Amino acid sequence: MGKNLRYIVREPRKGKDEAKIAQILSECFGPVTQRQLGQWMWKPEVKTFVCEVEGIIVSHINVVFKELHLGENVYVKTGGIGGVCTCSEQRRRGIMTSMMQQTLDYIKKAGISNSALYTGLLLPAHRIYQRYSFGDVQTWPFYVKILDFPYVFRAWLRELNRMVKASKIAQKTLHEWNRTIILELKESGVQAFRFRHGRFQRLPRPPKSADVAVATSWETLLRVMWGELRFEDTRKTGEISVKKGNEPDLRVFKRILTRIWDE
Amino acid sequence: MTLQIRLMQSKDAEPLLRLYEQFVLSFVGSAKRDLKQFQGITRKRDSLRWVALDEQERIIGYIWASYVKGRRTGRIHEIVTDPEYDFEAAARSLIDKVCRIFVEKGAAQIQAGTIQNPCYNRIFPQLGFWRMNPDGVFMYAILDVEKFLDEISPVIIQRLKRMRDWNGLLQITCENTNRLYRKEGRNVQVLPPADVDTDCCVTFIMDALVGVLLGATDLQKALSEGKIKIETSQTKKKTNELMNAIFPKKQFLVLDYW
Repeated sequence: MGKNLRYIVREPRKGKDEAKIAQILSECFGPVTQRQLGQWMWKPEVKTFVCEVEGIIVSHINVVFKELHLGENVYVKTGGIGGVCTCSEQRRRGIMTSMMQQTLDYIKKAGISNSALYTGLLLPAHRIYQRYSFGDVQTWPFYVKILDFPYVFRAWLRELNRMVKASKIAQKTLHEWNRTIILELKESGVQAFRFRHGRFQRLPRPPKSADVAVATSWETLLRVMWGELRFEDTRKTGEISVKKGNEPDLRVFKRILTRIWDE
Repeated sequence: MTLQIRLMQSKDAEPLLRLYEQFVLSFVGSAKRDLKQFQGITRKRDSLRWVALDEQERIIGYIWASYVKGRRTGRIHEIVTDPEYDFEAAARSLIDKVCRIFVEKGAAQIQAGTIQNPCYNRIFPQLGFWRMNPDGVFMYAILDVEKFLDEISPVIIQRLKRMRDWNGLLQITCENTNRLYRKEGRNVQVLPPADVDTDCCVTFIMDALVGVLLGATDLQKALSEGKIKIETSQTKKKTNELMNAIFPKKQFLVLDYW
């Protein structure tokens, strides 16, 4: 924790804190409404902590107790940690490290011997969890079948717009980045979009020239979006072929795909 | 075998809970559920919750899916079948049914996720699904080794009891904390920690203990990397038999997110 940073860790107040918490969660995990948050946060089995700096909530974490099967019909109670997030302006100040310690102390005080959580291998948080003795158990595959590629493309841009609206760090990354991108996709032909006035816009007809032009497949694109393939590696293997684009623009394009806006 | 498929009904909650409990026995990591949760699953009427019945009209499998209209996305949350039946056969009929409904509703994409039912690999790629391996990871930490060793004792005891050809004193150690198990025939006792000579002493680093219990670490690999150390006067064959019996390779499967 930074030397001059004064903070309070406390439980949230019903009817008062939902808006700010929803805002922080939206910035980290994608759009969350106050209603969605309320349906989860006030359940008796969920314990939530928030961190307040100068009277403003900047961080959130919750715990839910579950019993996990460890074999032979024996279930062991675990402290399931979730919703770990800090607003982008207050990151790298040790707030989450401190919140994490207090949460683990709370779990131990409740007489629970172990804890479990879900995260991403590529997220900075993964290293924090390792410092608290969390070990990787299992990554998980999922299966996807696309039936309507153009619709999925439009939905992806809509989702990006929602995310940018909620995320200050995304807004900062994309500030004045007014570019046009053409994607030549194996399964659905050419799709194009631009980022202008703080919004992603689908271009019904591909422009004659673009700032970034890449040829790839939907399958590769999804693998990059989900963190399975590294954008840099797909360029080396030719799975993503860059036809046009300078390196700074390609770095931003990568962030748009992975939706990881932090450095 | 002919399977009958029908929509879930409120009266199915109890048999579905029993089915789930049977199903997760073959895995580790799955969360305990209660009747209330299944009452919640069966209560919703959205035509995306189906059960498979055998010839005696017994529920032998279920699928639970949902459709997000605004995103035109079909999501298959859970497929659970009776371990006595062929997962693929039962699951396939249920998936076919749900996928047809998704198409009728105008789905632009269908997603199916689980951590991690290996049978999915034999079904979904054949149906034209792409397998994605996102960077998401389930992490686990032991916070209180002393208590954790007590909690897993019933697992060790039951596995030791099943061993016919091994008798003696076993010590499990992790982070300088140990538990002693004395086995004589079918009788297994946990003894208070003591500095005594044992027939087999297994010392784990914390990660390795979690890894072998949750099916994330290969026992032999952990031994060769020195994450697990064994001191014993017994033959290598007997020691291997003991280790494989107490820490069998288990498949990790989580169906619940939080």
